[in-house]
Amino acid sequence: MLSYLIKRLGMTVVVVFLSTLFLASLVHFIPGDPVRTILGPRATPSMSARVREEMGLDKPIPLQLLDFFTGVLRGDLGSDFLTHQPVTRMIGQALPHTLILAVAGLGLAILLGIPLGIYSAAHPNTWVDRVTGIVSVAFISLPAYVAGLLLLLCFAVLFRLFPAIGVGDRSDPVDYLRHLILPSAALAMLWIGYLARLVRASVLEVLNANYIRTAFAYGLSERLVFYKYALKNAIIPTVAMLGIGMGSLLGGAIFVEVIFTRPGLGRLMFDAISSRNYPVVRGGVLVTSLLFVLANLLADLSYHFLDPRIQYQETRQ
Amino acid sequence: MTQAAPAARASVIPRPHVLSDLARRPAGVFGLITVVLLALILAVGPLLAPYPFAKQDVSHRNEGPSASHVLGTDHLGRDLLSRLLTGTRIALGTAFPAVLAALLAGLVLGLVAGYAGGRIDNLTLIILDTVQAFPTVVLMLALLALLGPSTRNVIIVIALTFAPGYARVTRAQVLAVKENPFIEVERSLGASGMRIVFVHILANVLAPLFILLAMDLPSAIATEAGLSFLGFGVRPPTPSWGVMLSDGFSRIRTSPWPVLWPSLALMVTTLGFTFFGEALRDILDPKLAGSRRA
Amino acid sequence: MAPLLRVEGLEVTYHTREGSFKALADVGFEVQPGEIVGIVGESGCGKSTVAAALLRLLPPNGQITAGAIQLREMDLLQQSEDQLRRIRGKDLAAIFQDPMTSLNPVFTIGTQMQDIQRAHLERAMSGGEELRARAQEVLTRVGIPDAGERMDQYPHHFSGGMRQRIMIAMALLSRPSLMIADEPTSSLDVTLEAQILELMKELRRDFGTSIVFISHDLGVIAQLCDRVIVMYAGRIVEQAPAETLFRAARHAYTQALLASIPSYRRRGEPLAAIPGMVPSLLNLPRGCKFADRCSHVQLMCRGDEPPLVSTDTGQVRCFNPFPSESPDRPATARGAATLNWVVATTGELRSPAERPPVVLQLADVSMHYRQPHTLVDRLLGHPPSVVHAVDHVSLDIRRGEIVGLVGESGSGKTTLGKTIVGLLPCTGGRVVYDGLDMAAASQTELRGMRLRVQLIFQELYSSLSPRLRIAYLLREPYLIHRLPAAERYTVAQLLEMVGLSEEQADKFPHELSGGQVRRVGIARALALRPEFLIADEPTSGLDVSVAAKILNLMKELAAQLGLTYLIITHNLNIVGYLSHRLAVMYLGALVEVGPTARVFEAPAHPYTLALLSAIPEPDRARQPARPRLLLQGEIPSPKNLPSGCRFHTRCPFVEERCRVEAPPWREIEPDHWTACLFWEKVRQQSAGTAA
Repeated sequence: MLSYLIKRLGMTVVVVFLSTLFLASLVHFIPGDPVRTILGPRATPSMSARVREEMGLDKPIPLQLLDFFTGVLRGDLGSDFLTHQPVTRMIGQALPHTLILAVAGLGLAILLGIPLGIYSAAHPNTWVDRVTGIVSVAFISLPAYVAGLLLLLCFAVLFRLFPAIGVGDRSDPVDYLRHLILPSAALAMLWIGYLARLVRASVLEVLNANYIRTAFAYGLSERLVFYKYALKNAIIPTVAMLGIGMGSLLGGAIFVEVIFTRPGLGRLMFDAISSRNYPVVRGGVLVTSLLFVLANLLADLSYHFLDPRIQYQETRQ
Repeated sequence: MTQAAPAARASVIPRPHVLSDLARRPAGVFGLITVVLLALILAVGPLLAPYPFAKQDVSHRNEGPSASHVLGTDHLGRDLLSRLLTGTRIALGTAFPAVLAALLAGLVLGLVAGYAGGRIDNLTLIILDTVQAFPTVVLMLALLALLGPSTRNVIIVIALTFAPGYARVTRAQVLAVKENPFIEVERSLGASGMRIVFVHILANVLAPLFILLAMDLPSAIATEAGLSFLGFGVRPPTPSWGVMLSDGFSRIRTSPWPVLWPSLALMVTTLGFTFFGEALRDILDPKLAGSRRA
Repeated sequence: MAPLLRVEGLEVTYHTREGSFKALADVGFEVQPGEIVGIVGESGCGKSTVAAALLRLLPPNGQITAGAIQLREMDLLQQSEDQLRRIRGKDLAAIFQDPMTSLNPVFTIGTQMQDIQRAHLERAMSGGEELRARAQEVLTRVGIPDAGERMDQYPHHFSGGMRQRIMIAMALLSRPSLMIADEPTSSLDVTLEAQILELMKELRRDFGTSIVFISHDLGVIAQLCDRVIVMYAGRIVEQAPAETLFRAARHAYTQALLASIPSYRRRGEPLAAIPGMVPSLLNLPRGCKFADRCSHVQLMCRGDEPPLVSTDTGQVRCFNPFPSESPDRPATARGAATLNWVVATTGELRSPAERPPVVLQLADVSMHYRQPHTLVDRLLGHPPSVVHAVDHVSLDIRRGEIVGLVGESGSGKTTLGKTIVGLLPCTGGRVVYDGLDMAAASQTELRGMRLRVQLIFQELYSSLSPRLRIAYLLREPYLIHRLPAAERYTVAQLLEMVGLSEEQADKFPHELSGGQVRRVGIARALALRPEFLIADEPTSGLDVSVAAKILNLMKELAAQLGLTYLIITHNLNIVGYLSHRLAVMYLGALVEVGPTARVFEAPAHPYTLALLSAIPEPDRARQPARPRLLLQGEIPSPKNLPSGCRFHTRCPFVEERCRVEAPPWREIEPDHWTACLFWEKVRQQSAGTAA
């Protein structure tokens, strides 16, 4: 287990390093003058000169990268073109909202999706299973923005049950929650459907395994076999998927924050891209990917923690 | 103990019974119908449109469904049905080339990495890991921020971000096939590496890839629409469904229809292709399917 | 005495997409307390369905459509699911074929055993401690060392043989009166199998457990069972006490099965090959289901199906059974040193001058491979590990000989086969074919070698590229080597050579039966007209009757084409039947080499003796009491070879010397070599108990 842990952490560090490198040098991959790439066709000469100097684009490329890295390690992600605020501070203010949103979305997906999948696997081919199947499939076809728009339309515009804009009063948890429900539901829908189907398929496949037959042959009750013996095996591949889920949620957050006019990292990046505010974009992407890598690492580790076969490196076989 | 013959599998080229198998599954039928319908619209859609998609009619703005405008009109009086039909072309016309390009790039990369193994494989994995360290949407946005929004760039960006997925799947398939005894048998007969890769490995790797293609199309369509919705993809007035959604969103309190129809179109397309892909998978390569016992 | 189990008129129907069919029809038998009853048959005969039906664990598309199953006074077909649950694992226990997948991988053995115990708690008294103690007791009884600690380990920490013992232990937890064993030893090595069979006999002796033992292996059944039931196409065709059955079988199928098992005693006789194939259960013929393949068939056999008729010792389902005693059945001459068929050159052992030339020379061949040793391993101080798959093997094979290479799993025999043809690198020593040193050969010379030496792989379906047709697969060797038309066989010729019909050419591998796939494998190997064939487990995965046909085919080909064979197998019966000489491998090294007759009659290494005594032999009555040598323990890991003699950890003759000195490779008689210092003791043991 220890050697695996070391290997995995090492890989993570390497990946983070390389992806940061990739991001930093992205501008240079695109043919043409980096300044023009960043500012677009409407750049004036004075803007270009200023940007060139601020971002150090006149220095040789390796030096630029070095500067960027040392900056990152110091916590300095550059400054916003327009307001000259440190990007780190802007992200710091925006991040908590996005994190809460993403966690709420993930939580919702897990709390609804997994039990749904288990329930339909426990009652296969009954009407409950079929209804659940239809619902899960419908949810799969709802990417975050479609879900967001439809939810907005239905619950905020037509029925006026929930607010459509903003995060609400931060000091009032109930209000905050009211403002959180629709956005997190929008984020979660796709994954509720996906998880439900995945868990169902996983459980049914496990139920076909030889060791389940053995368990029945030894007189263990259906409840025990299903909820203990089968489930633990079936959950393992699902956990592995959750890391990827986090990535999809972070991406979806951008749409949801735009649709529901919430402050957050996604909104920040959206505005920054629209106004060609490159340092903010770059900083946002960096932070998002860091979160994603971490989420994957966690998922991977828990996957290996749950499955004893992988823990044991030196088998007798 | 004696081995039973493995479950019957069709060759890559579907034989007649594929269609009859497809017909047996209701979901598959739905998927097939959807796909055929979409293909038709792709071919003749704009001809079916009652109005040119950009034609504005200021006297009939924000209307609901009526006799003259079956699906209603948007804030500039443009016919929603016509825009929707044209949008189908955009959706498929960007998604399909993008996914195809991703498949080809990923296929080559995966074949090389999987078969060569060793350092080449490790290097490829590192590259894949690096690119996949970014959530897809985020990476696409970063690229579009630099490249500038346009239809062509959307295709490029989607291809670039989807390619690592194909590379990994191909690589995993190649590794699995490589372990198969028949590869060793071929080597013992004296087959060269090239022959093994192009005759034996490829034949066994292609089927899963095509299935993946069918199932990735809806994802690509949704992605393109999302990017266009944010304004970073296809530029208005080209009626990508995402652009329609964006227009509808800003005026959502005025009229629900401009948001509703593209949403439904997206949902139906996604479902149709997903079902089609899954049915295809169940028929062509039952191993991938997981339990169908219940 | 009232029978423990009574089955009457059992009928099981399966519903599939292709239609419904009866997997079992009119199955009835009894099991007395303390009796071991064997059910034997080939694939598709329904024996596993019987097990599933007894447990009431048929798959969802299966149904018991008629009959009765009575366990003591309980009618099992009338019990509710809840009542059945109480019976399973308590009065009725089961062990299954595949120990690798029959235990839940994510829970410890202890947890799984406790769950079983708790499910059958009679009184609420048992706390965790008591349950553990009982579990430990049972684990020790079945031979798991350090049971107390090992209970907290996961299944993958145990080898296949150990897992099977754990399953038996689980079955024993509640002292069941009846145990159903469905092919429990089929996936185990022969020496392990012997241990498990011995264990089962002990269980019967100590606990009075009755056993229903299901297997395709007649030899195993003969060793273990009191009574035997033979099944075919879902029906019982014969039932008799084991002794009677093997001595004088009444049904033509049983006779044919018995006659198709190769063994040392049958050298020189052709094996009976039952013509045709098992009929599909969806499309059974009228009348007797075996009629189309029966040597005794008469007109009435195709009319009505024969009923099960009682004989003085059992039952038989035949209108025209064989007579109950046939005193004039020819006894096979024991241990003929010569073979009666015509092989290109060799017959009996000739003097050195008269012998044919050596074609393959293995000089001190080793194949060691290093496990990947990564940076992390180095950091953590793990030493690099080397696997000694093949260790200093020296063997000469002469033209026209049939040499058997025998060993269990982990012996390195397959690795050696692949090293000889160059699929694996030879890390030490030399492989010399017809004077050509493989390591020093050029690419062209190596290609030329491919045309002369070919390997037939042991895998069945997975050795053929699944998406290519047979015709292409047969032509491919010519495409690879770009041979001119004159040097090629046509596809039709190749098919004919291996006994396949022309229509198979258009099919894909998965459309062929196991036997047909094996034939295609042989045909491919023959395509390049080799002179030397290495056959790796030529009969693995095949039913007994199909295997017999393959062996017959191999014999014919040897005669027709003048081939030299190296047959790699764990099955001593095959080498005893076919080969001139025999080489025994253990943990990568040769332990004994000699003429087959000598090795079988006077083995000179304890491992050989153990292997010989572990051969499940159907000829129970005829064969004299065998010298039994039951090995303890399991084969050590090839990463960690024992010091001195590598066999010393399991050897009953072990002495201090053996732990320290590696024994020399000695020729004790002409052409008979051994790696044991105490071979004379082995000889004594093997001769001593023989009648």
